[in-house]
Amino acid sequence: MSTERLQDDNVLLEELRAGSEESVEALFDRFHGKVYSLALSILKNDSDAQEVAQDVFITVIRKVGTFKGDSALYSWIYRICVNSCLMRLRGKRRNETVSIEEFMPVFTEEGMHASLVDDWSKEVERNLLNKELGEIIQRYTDSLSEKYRVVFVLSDVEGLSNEETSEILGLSVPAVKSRLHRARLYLRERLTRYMTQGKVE
Amino acid sequence: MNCKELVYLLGDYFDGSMEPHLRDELGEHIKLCDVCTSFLKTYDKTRILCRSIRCEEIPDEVREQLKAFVAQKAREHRADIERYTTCTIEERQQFARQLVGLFASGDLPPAMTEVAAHHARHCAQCAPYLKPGSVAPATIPPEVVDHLADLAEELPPGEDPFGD
Ligand SMILES: [Zn+2]
Repeated sequence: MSTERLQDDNVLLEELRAGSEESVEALFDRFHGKVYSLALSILKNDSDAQEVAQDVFITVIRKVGTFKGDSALYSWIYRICVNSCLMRLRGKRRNETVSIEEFMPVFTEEGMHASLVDDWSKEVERNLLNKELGEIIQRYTDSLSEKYRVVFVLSDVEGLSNEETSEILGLSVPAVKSRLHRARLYLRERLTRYMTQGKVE
Repeated sequence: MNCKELVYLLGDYFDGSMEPHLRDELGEHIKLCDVCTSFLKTYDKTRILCRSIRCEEIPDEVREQLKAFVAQKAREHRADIERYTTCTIEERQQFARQLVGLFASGDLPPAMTEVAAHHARHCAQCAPYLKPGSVAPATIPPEVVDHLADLAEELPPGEDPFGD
C-alpha cells in the first residue's frame, strides 16, 4: 500500500476498516495537527487537548466500520473532536462567561451609531507581534460562551468556511453566520475598549 | 442603507455572500460615513488578529506520545476484533451442531423443524446434515455452518430456534 494512495479518503477508510497498520499511521499523520490545535483552541489546556486527541483517534478507529461517508472524512473527525471537547467542558465548571449583549454596538433610533468609533486598526499593525495583545485576545475569546466560541474557533481561528462549520456542528449556515458575527462584534468591542482605554476588564 | 443595517451585514460583506446591489450601497455609505469606516476596519482587524491566536505546531514530544498511544490502541482494537471473530466462529459451529443433533433426534420446536426441513429440500450442500435419525458429525464444513446459522434468522420474531 503506497502512502500516496492513503491520501484518498475512500482508500484510507477502506484500509482502516480492513485494520491495516499503515492506514492508522496515515490517519494520524494527516489529522493529528488539526485535531490537536482545534482541541487546544476550544479547551485552552495542553493536557486536555492531548486527551481529546487520544479520544478522537480511538473513536475514529472503532467507529470507522459504521461511518457511512455521508459527510467528508475531515468533517466527521472534526465533529468527533468538537463533541469530545464539549463533553469535557461540561464536566468542568468553567469560569463565568460574560453576557455579550452589553458589548453589542448601540444605534440611535434613526439607525446611526450612538457614539463615535475609534479606528485602532492601524495602531495594531505596529504591534502585530505583541505578546500581551495575543494574551488579551486569548482571554477575550475564552470569555465567550461555548455557543459562540466553538463557531468562532472553527471559522475565524481554524479558517473553515461557514458551510464546513455548519456541517461539523450540525447547525444551519445562517445560524453559524449569526453566531460568528456576534462573536466578532463582541471581540471587536472588547479590543476597542482595550486599545482606547488600555485596560483589561 | 443606514449604519445599523451596514453593521448587520458585515458578516456577509467579508464572507463574500453579499448581493451586488447591497455591496454597492455599502460602498456608498462607507464613502460618506467615517464612523462606519472605522467600524468596518476594526471589525476586519479583529477577524485577522484572532486568526493569529491559532496554536502553533503540536510539540514534538506530545506528538510522539500521541502517535505511540494511537498505534497501541489500534493494535488492541485489531486484537479485539480477531478475538470477537474467532468467538463468533466457535459459536456458530456450536449452533450448527446443536441444530443438526436436535433435527436428527426430532427435538427441535416445530417452527425451526419447518425452516430446517425446507432448507434441506432446497440445498444439496446442507441436505446430508439435516436427516432425521442421523448422528451429528464432529465438525461441520464452514459453508454449511454459515447456511445453518442463518436459518435462525428465518424464524418468525419471538421464536427461539431451540425452544428455550
Ligand atoms: Zn454609517
